[in-house]
Amino acid sequence: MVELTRRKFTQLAGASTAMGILATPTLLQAATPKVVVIGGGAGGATAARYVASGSKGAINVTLIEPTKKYYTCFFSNLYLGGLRSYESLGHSYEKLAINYGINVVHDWAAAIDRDKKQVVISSGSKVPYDRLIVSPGIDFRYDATPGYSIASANVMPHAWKSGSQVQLLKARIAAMKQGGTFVLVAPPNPYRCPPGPYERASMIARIFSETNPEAQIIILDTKEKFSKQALFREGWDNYYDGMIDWIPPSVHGGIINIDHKAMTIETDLDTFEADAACVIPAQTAGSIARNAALADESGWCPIIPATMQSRLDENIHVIGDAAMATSMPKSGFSANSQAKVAAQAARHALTGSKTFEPRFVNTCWSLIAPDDGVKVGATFRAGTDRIEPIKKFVSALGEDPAIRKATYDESSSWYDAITTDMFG
Amino acid sequence: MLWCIYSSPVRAETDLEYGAFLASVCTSCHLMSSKKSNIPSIIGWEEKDLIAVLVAYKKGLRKHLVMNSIASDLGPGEMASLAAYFAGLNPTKEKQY
Repeated sequence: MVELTRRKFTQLAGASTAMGILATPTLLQAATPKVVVIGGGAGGATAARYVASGSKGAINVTLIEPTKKYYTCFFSNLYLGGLRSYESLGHSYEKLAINYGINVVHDWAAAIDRDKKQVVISSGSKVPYDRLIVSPGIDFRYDATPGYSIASANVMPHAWKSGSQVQLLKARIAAMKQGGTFVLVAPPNPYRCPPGPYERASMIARIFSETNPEAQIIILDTKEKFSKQALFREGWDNYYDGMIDWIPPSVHGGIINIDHKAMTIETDLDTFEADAACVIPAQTAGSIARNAALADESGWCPIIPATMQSRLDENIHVIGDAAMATSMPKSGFSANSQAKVAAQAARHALTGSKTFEPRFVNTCWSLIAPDDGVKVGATFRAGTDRIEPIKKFVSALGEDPAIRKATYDESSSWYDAITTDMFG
Repeated sequence: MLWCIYSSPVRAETDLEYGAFLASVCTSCHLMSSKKSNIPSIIGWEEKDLIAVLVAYKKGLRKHLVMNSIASDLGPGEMASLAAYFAGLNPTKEKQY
């Protein structure tokens, strides 16, 4: 509190002194406008960087993110598959601070006081904003995942927010008994990274093929179809020879209870016994957004497509997984794209900078086996009610292996580019 | 109705500010440096060369799922503005946005 207040005072005093000779009385009273960003992931880090770089000092940018090193959720499946190191997923915020002058506050944003236009952080300090960009990602709906709790996550990791959960899941995979059964529970729509659970199954199968060839992977799904389904099923047949068994609810009848002590997942059809498991629960917008009443009854935050402003508060933009950004999928790429739209709109609102018709873009790459990458994506424009797809694409079945390798190589380079776009 | 509020060049003229804005779509995949990448560097090109490539993607003469999708939504003014913006970036220096 003391530091922030002193800093703000210094900035105000500095601005007044510098402008004192030329400024009109109105300008004398005008402080540098403030953008605060909650969450330093693909949405928040990008938004902070684009507001700061685009406004060139005309806007003070504060980024509130608890972790000092951010581990990306995207590409964490490749770490599970033994194709990337854990360290390669980690990124720090120092360039955002040093090169872009962003005030990076490593603390939890505890609450948003919309009336006073300030964010309360867990230490009790208050950070005032003129525009707030909320990018908190997802939280889990334990109520919609019977029997699964925070305690379960230590035994049956979700590993859906990267970090130590992914390391734990990797250890559980490695420790599974020979010829054992791995059960993966896939979440209901909408959720972060639609092809992610199936890429994860592919990467676990890759590891088992080398270390535990008699192992079985059972995917208990909560939906009847999934992203890139035909591509994954073709790949599973090609590479993993019956190791992966995908069971939709029309077959298992619904998940009744998950018991992490007994290591069982009970369905209408049968009770599945797991030697190791990954349970990805149903999802909702990050709690800070819901607690600030930025979400509707769906649990997600409705937005105005052209600006990514909340439909419930014009001073707030919600981007990334927490936003109801229909028809974009919840992906790191989507969040990065939406962040640029929000950054443009916030800058325009605060400094009158020029605006152009927003464009959105997303590609989701998935790896089925080493050097066998596939992708799905689209370009989008802002409609009145939703973000409208303009031109969609998806990898073809039975593609030449050279194309699949090029797609994988491309995804590796995309990782370098988007993390540079996020963190500088 | 939205287009009324945007500064939207419709002619095939270069607008560096518009180019910088459109380039933010590109930087999700293309590094703004000459660092080694499987995704080609697009900075420091002759303007006409970049426009020719974008036109080829738009017409489907060059095949790439992502680029065919992106180029399909670019008109002459957008291509010219992008080409002018990227031509002005120095490939020996790292620069973003």
